[in-house]
Amino acid sequence: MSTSPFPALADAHQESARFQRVYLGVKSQISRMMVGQDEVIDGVMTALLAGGHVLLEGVPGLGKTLLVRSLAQAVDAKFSRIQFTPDMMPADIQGTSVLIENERGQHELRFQEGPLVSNLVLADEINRATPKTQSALLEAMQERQISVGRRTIKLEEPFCVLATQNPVEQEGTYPLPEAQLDRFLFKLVVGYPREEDYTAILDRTTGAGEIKIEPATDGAEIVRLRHVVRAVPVPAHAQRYAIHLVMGTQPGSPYAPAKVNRAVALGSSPRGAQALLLAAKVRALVQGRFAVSVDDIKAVALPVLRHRVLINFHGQSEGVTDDAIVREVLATVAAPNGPQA
Amino acid sequence: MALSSSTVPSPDASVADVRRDLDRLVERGTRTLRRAARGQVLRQAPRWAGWFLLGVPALLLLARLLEVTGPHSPPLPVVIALTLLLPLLAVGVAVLAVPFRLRPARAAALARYDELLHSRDRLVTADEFLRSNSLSEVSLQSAFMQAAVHDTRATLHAALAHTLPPLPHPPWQSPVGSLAGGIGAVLLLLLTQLEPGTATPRSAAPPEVIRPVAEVASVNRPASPPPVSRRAARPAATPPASEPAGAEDASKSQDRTTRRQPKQEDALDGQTGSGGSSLARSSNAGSQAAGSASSQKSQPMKRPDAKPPADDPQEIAASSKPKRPPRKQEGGPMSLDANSGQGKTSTSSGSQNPFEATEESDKTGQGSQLDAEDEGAEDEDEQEKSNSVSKPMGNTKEPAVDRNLSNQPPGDDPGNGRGGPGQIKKTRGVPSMILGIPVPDRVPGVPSPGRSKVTQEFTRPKEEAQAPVAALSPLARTGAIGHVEQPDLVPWRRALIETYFTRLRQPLDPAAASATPGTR
Repeated sequence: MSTSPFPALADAHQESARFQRVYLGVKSQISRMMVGQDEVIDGVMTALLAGGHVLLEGVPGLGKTLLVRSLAQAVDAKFSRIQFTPDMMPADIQGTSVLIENERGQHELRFQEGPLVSNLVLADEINRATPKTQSALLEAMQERQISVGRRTIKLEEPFCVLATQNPVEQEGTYPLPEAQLDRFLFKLVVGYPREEDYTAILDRTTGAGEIKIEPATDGAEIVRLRHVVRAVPVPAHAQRYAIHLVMGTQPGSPYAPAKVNRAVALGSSPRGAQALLLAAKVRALVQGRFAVSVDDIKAVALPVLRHRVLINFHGQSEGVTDDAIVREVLATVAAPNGPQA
Repeated sequence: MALSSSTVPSPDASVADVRRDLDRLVERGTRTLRRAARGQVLRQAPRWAGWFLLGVPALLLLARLLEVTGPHSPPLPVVIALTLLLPLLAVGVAVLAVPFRLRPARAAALARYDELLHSRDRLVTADEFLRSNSLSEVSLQSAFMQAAVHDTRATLHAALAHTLPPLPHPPWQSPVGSLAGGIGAVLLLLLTQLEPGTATPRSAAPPEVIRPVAEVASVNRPASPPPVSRRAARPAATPPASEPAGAEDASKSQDRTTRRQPKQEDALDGQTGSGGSSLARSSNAGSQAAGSASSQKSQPMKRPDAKPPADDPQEIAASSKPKRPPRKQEGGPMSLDANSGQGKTSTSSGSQNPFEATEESDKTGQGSQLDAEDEGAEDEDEQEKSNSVSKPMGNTKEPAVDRNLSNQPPGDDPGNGRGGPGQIKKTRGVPSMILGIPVPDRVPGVPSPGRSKVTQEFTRPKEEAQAPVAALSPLARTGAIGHVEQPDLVPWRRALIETYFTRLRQPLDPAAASATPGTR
């Protein structure tokens, strides 16, 4: 009897196939409602399976809210939507103690959960809330818990915040602080659909038929797949490349190009490197590979790093965007073992 | 993202097989990398190999200087051949040293195949996982690592079937960088062919014809007195006829100085003391303050060789006055400034001899310009004196602050935010919102009294003993209040107050009250 040199080989292939099946199922359900926007759908799915949060930025009418609602229906998880307004208070989203009358006719204070206690939270127009209310999301997004008074509530997994913001209507808004931006795994920019997509959009949204999205998976499966994602190994050269990319966004580092040194005030934190690897792991699994490659890291670098780069005054005056900075870093930082390394 | 279907392969692949195939690929890749490195060394050789041309001529010259080779030197063709051979030898050594110098990592060698086959780092990753210890662990991550290694087999077979194309070589380097080495080698070769002390190549004349240069010079040169230094020859009243040209120049300058001296003595009441010579005065003209000039005016006339009295209080006071920095001028006056700076330096360093100053002027070859310079300096001095009389603050010589704040003395603290001098100002109003654009202050104002300095000091509070104060309840006064000091009042006011209180204490008379309503 010969022992196999790869005893756990079947497990890896089985988990990989299962991951792809769930991914494809959820994506096909979302695609029934959403037309085009493949990159945005992939980004939202990647963030959900990597255990991160997503910031969707786009002008009104591009289907940001529809995408998140479709995802919630396809995942079959608890979904809540918070429309952020300037007069919203932290208690409005976290919950508060309310005075109620019990069965014996006595009055008592009982904690009433807010909309934040959910699996998928759509924070619509998050930049319209005051910093006080925005800060109420910090603990929930990082520690997956909320503290109200003396009570600490552990949020149920999977917990994913999908926030939207409008980049043009800046009057009366409160830009998200860097601490909160850093907590988003991805910042996805939702663009206008292509010409061929308009026909399908109009047919689906103005016709008499109603599109119904069936659940393709549930919250427990998502949590399980998150563990699978974390088991994907990262070779040393890919990890080194992710580190170099993150350091390349930091002005003054040895990997920072001249454009970064001139136009960037603040680069990515180590949380950016974590996000790079987690998102790259999801991409490797989606593509049927069992380890992360440098190409995976390059593919997810833009949505991972663009909101972690703070352009300084000189950069703003020269019209430098955060996307241009990340692309410059990608073009400058050499891949390990590459021809120019 | 494109999804690829994956099927579970049969686990019959041997780790040893995969490792052996990877080793073969590493060997191939390393050969390719070393070949590319050799090509790179060859193409970069023209940039540095030319410097090796200096080696043999330099050694030959050194040997000749140290007299190691003796009278017989190697023939020129041999020297040239050796000179040309050394760079080739250096390039050869550099090329042969590539395998010892370049030890590419396994990952770098395998990455060439990954790049060729677009296999997304499969070979590099598999090699790394095979060399790690966590491959045999029982975990999901280990399972993925095993799967990654197993997934490499197809790529391995494809890589073994391929031959790595040669890496692109860099372009040939231009030999311009080492051209200086070649030129230097030629010069050194010429030097080595010269006999010591001759100006012509050794092969130009037979050895018996060549005489040492010193001998030839001693034959051709007429007898002349031993060289005398110009400083030593200077006190002579008239220069000898056979004096060299430099001495003649010095004597001309001396004559010029002596011709000008009476005029200055008349004009300046004998100011030939410290810094009082014509050149010294011209040197001070552009920079010396009027106060300094007036202090010099009161000094008695001194001989050029006389030492200045150190115990003269007026002179000490004059010398202790701070000297104003030289004014900046552009264009033509710049040369004057340069000369004046030199003259000032010589004066302040104790060189008060007018002959020395004249000699310096001859050295610079500007003796003819100094006359005009002196006159201009005298005019400036007179103007400074008149300014010092008419303007009380004229001795500071600070230029006025114009609207553009452009003519400011250097060293002013820029950007101090005050209304006074300073080129860069903190902006106000709308321009202050635009960062990085210094806008000069257009508000003509009086500078503030000065920068206020705030110093914070840490002081610990001192403890002081204090008896506890017992709280008392406020009771009603029982005793007399005592004597109350009354301020002195004028009689009519005292009478008024007395009348008021007297009427206040009287029992209220209804008739009187009705007669005088509103009295109280």
